Formats: sequence, structure tokens, C-alpha cells
Amino acid sequence: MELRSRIGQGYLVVSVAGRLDTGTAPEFESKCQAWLNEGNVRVILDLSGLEYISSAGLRSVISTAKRAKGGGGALILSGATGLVQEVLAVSGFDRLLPTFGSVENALDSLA
Amino acid sequence: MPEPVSLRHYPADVDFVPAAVAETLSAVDRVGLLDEVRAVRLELALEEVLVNVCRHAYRDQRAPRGEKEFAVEVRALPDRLEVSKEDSGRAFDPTTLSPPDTDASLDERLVGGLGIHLVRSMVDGIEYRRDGERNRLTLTMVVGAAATGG
Repeated sequence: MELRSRIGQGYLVVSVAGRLDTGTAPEFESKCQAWLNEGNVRVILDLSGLEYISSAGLRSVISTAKRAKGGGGALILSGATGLVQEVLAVSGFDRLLPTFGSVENALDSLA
Repeated sequence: MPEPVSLRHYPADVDFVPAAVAETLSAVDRVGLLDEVRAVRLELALEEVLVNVCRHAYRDQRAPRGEKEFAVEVRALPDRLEVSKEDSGRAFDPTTLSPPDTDASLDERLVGGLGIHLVRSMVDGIEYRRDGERNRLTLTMVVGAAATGG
């Protein structure tokens, strides 16, 4: 898993690439929590480089979303394709959280 | 029933799940009946099943570490591919669990309960059997003309 973050238009854009599974979900969750604790509660998750997500990955996403909401912000999903898009759909995550085709689409819509 | 094309045993420890999944998927790949999209669905379902075994199957048992194991078997049949998992943990039939409420709001949404839902969603069939002291769970992927990818 590769994790990168940048600030864009008032949002923290977190790019997660590779696999978000039992092995990598704890690191994802703790990094996101650290960023949220720094006050970055408006988060766009860029999933365009993510190839695989398991239920452990989904749990880390939902925990992060709850923390963001608790801090007065929100977690927004973007860029999912293939298996990741399919998993988000069957789990209802694309109805649970604001979901966009790309980070750019998200920023345009939220501006 | 044909002989398995692959049968391997592993300690019931999540550290062994990545190897178990990778070796099983290599065997599936060698059989050559699943396209990439369906192979990765099977991979996800298998990971969920195996993590569940390692986390829960032996939780109440004081068996020596060496006896806490699972086996994964791959069988190629004319119309389907079967991947079976066996363990000697407590009897557990995941096919009877009710699905999570995927329409719940963020506040109501529970953090767990998604694994078996994903398994059901990713494979064409799932069957549980208690064989004596063994749990046997078989994941089925239809192959050939009846298979639907995409």
C-alpha cells in the first residue's frame, strides 16, 4: 500500500494505492487518524490507484469517515474502479458516503 | 469427484493468510478457467474466509498451536471451479448469517459484519458442511459459457 496526502482547495486529498486489506488497513487508519487530529477533517479519498480492498479495508474507511464526521467534517470517496468500485457498491459505501468519479470531479462539485 | 489440483495446510494465524491466498490463486491460475476479474473476486472471498477462520474458529479452544490449522483445496470440474477451506475449529456456518444493513446511515452503520457479505457477493456459490469435527466451506465459481464476468 502507498499512502500520500496533499492539501487542495481546503480539502485533504489522501491517495491510497495498491492493496487495502488485513495487512495494510491498520496503517491506513492510524495515518488518517493522525491527519484528522491535525484538524484536516474535510477529506477526499483518492482511490484511483487502489487495486484491492477487503472488509478490513472497508472497516478502516468507515472508522475514518465516522471520525471525520465527529470532527465536523466529512470523508468523500473518489476514483474507484474495478474490484474496488464493485466492493464499495455491494457494501453500500457508495450510498453511505459522497462518491465521485475522480478527485477533480469531487473538488468541482464541492467548490 | 476429481482429485484436487491443490491441497495445502497452514497454521491458523493471519500471518499465513497472504501465502495461503497467493498459493491457492496460483493453482487457480494454472487451471486457467477464470479470467482476471473473476479470479480477483475469488481471491477476495478466500481472504475473507481465511481471516475469519484465523480470528474466530479456534478462539474458544485450548488446542496446542500446531493443531490450530486450516486446509485449502482447489478442484476443477467440467462446469465449475471449487475452492474449499477446512478447519477443526468450533462449528460455524457462515451461510446462515443475516446480511448487514447496507442502507444504514453512517451513524448507525456497524464497523463489522461485512466480510461474509463480501464473500457471498463475490462468488457464484457458497456451501457449508460439518464433517465430523471439521468445518468445510466450499466457494464455487461457474466456468465456461455460464460464467459472467465484468
